[in-house]
Amino acid sequence: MEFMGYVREDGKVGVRNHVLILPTCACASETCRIVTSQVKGCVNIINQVGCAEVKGNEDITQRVLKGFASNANVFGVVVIGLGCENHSHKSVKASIQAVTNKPVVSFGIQEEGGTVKTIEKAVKAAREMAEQASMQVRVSVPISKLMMGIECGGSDATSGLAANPAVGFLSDQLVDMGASTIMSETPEFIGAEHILAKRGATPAIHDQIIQICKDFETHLAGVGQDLRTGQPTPGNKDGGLSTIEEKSLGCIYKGGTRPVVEVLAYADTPTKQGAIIMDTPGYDIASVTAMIAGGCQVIAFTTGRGTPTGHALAPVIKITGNHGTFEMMQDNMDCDVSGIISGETTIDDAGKYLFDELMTVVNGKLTKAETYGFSDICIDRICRFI
Amino acid sequence: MKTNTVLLNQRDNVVTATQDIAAGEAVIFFFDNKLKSINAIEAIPAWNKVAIEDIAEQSPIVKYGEIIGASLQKITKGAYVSHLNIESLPRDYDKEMR
Repeated sequence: MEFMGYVREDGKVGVRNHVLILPTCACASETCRIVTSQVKGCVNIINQVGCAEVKGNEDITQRVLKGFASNANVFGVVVIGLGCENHSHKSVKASIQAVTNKPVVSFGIQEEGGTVKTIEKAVKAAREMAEQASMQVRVSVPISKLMMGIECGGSDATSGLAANPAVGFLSDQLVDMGASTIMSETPEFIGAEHILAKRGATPAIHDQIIQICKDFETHLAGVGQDLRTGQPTPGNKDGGLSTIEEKSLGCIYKGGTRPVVEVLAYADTPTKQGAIIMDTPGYDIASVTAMIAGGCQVIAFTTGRGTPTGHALAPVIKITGNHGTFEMMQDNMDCDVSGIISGETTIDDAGKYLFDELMTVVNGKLTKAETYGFSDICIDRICRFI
Repeated sequence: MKTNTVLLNQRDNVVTATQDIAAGEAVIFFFDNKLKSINAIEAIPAWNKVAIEDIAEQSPIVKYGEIIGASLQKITKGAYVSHLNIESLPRDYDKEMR
């Protein structure tokens, strides 16, 4: 099986061809937004962090920024910093160049003498990069170059009955073909972690899956908090998910059944091919952010209540097993697999339909979230700003 | 008779409604490949749970063949099972390690 992608100089393959205008910190985010609005082919993210953070938070921020820049959907990067933040534009640029040889340029707002002068230089650089990007064409590449992130959000009881099992089947198909998938959202393993852990390819991976759940609860307890106060959400409860155990038992279906070959830290880059788990919050935006920073070129996102989430760098495909939601939120939903519940289709057939839809999106079809230009991001924190 | 709920595992003591069910209406599901029916004693919104047996206070609630929490009060057969009458249980992670 092959798909049509953009082969990068570093050997990775993109399914989109964006120029990324990347703010090193919150103080550069608005400048990046304005630069992006001036040049076709560019996307930006709103970075709300990048300064006044402890080392643990700083490490997470830097992993995400480096991960976004090196994501294969990005042709090249224009980094913009302020000048007094934790990591200057020069050091962010250097860390990107340590992992990829794609085009990277950078500017500092204080060095350039303010917003307008920075925008002038950055727009020129972005325009040249966008022109170069426009000359790259898609070529046929093996599906082993694809890595799909798996997310669920706004879940209801249909998620565990239909959309998640169908995406699980999709994940198994991809893994069997040599591609990779990442499933995340540690709090939404809790209550089902004993089942998920059985997928660990080794006893060590089995225990790692249990450990990240334990660590998550211990971490929250350290500041006197309990995840059960916010999980499940009010929408989950209205949709028939009463406890975190019930939610998690439905959630883990989306990862399929193949052996888990690696457990990654938040936003880390996989070193193995196959079914992978990443330790992230259950907060959809923070989880999608981490999987795209980890290299996923596309996200399969299941929902019961319906959500609009999209990301600047990668297509996010919305899949629901709730027919009422599909009808009500057609502006946001891409795929309807509710036939699994009504008995009109099987999980396997729905999974095959999702595979066909995934290939169409990977080859260039825009998802609903992409057509609106959505750019949701959230970088996880381990503690307060300083 | 047509089903309006789904039983996910033979060990379960709840079923999931696939449509809104009115108080007094029959709750119909497949059990062991045969249609089984009980009465809903209150309204059940679509995708929510109905108890298919009497459940004592502080007893396990089972769905997918797994414990999803414990009852906070006695729950009668045919009653609506929700976050208001069941609660999550703490995990014992150390015991789960290999």
